[in-house]
Amino acid sequence: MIYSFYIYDRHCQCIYHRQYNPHEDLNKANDSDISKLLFGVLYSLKNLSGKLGDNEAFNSLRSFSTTNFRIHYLETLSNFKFILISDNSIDNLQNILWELYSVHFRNNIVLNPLSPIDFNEEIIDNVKFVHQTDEYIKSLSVFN
Amino acid sequence: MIVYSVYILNKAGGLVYQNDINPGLNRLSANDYLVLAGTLHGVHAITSRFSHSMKIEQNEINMNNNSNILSTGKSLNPNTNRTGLQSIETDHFNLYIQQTLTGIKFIIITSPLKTTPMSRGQLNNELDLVNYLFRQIYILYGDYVSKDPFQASDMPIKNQLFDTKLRELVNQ
Repeated sequence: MIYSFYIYDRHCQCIYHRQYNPHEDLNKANDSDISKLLFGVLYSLKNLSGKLGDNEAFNSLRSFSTTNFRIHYLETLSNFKFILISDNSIDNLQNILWELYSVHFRNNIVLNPLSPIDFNEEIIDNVKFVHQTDEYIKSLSVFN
Repeated sequence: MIVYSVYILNKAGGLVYQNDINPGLNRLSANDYLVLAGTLHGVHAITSRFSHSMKIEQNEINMNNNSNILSTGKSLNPNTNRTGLQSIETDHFNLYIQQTLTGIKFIIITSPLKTTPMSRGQLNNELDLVNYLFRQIYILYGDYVSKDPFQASDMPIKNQLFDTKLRELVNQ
């Protein structure tokens, strides 16, 4: 089951938050403590895995888990961080995160002349983006 | 699964034991290892706050555990890490955190498991293997560290017997 989906920009700002389970929410918790703590945890773990991994190639963090959920993480070259929270039986959502970035985010946000390059305190409320990502995530076999 | 390293943290988050059994990880300075231990300790505490705020039912797990204890008279798994950080998956290694009732954390770093996209339960199977290993390590800890009369609690562990037994266990 997929619980929620977050996007952070390179200024540590949560620019998109979409909750799917147990109830649906859109951009309600961008400024909440939890979203800030989530960013901090990912930042620390990313540093840790970069340091501890073999020196030859950069070691990137894929996911981490607790007993109740698993958090999947993808960072793009432009420092946007894509995060999906699922239950912990789902092992790998890297390709889903990549698809969300390279298709939906690219087409609706990056290539959109009306969307800002730097989200200063702004959030993504592009209806088409919300609609398309919703449809894509809900069509996944692991969604429920 | 190859076990790269085993670390032990005391209840305050200090690194008291470090054994890099197989090569595969970057070598850090002594100070960096302390920072790493502190980071994991802090992150572990923070992630348990997520669980509470996400309102995922914890009661069922607790009830199952309680009924287990009542019927058998003992806790089946010495791992009390219920809500905190449990595992980290990266390209080069997987890291697992297990906690005992007294707050000591055992950190086991292994080679990464190649998961296929959208697969289910592979990582949880791996976690079961690591859980088994943790139980064996905890037995060794009990035998060679806790029962060592010269070992002060929460102080760095320097025990050759523990080192060799741990190495034997992990490499078998």
